[in-house]
Amino acid sequence: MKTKQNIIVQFLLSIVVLISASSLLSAQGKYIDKKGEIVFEASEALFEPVKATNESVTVILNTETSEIASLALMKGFRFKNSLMEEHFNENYIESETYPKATFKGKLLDFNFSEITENNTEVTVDGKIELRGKEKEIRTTLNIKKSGDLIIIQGSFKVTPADFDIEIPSIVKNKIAKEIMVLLDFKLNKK
Amino acid sequence: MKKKKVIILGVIVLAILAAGFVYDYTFNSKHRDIANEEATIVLSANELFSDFQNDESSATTKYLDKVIAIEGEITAVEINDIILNNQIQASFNVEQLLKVEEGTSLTIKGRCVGYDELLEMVKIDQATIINKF
Repeated sequence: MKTKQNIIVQFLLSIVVLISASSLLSAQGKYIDKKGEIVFEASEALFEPVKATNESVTVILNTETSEIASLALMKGFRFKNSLMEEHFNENYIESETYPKATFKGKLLDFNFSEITENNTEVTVDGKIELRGKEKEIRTTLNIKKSGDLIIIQGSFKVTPADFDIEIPSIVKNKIAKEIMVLLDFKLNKK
Repeated sequence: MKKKKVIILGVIVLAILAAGFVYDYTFNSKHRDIANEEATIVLSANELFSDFQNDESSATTKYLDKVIAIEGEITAVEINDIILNNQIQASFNVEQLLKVEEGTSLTIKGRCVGYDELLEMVKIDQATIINKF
């Protein structure tokens, strides 16, 4: 009788150990940046720069599954020109209705152990969602380690039409047809 | 004849002034100064957070871009940022070492930027500390 009880206790204990070990494992591969930076630029030569920076972008990378997710709140994009910021929020992005942009994707052929202090080029494939529209994005990122941090930098291009944003003809020649998006993330182990 | 000249001159001066104002309004209009704006909503970190969790879109309409005063307890201090009740991330304007400690209860004021579902936190920027308890 006693041995039977012992076996049950041992069995339960090993389950507890297994569960805690596996949750530890999954927690191990998570890297996070709460203050990532995204800059977008749609400037045309000779006109006032159309440029904004968001310094509060969230990025989460799971180094085991290679999944990466990011979120930027539209009101977090700051322009030098306050009127431009107002127009961006009210007329183009409609940030009251669509307050955020998200990205969900995967790093392709990503092997965390191969990341060094020097940049490694990694292709990322995923979807951006903005203004209720989805857009497929595939671009190359530069990834490196710096101490405990993982640094991810890269860029890609989108167009206003990708997200059904209409640019009025009066400002059409002052806003670039293609918008350059630059990203700079420093992820910490969670 | 002389009168006509004066009128023309007057119109030109007015036109230049108007152009100047339009130019100034377009290119130099000031950003909001959140630190010197009065908070229009005062509430606790818990209330703000649960409003966003319960109904994000109506909370967005209610709080987005508004200057709000939030009372809570500091659960983490980061460069330029404090976290209240593990629910609110408040970013301060200037890069500064915040002279606050974990566990302190306080009220901050800032602009609501929205809800971050990845972090499960409400984000506040241009924050200032109103008072400490």
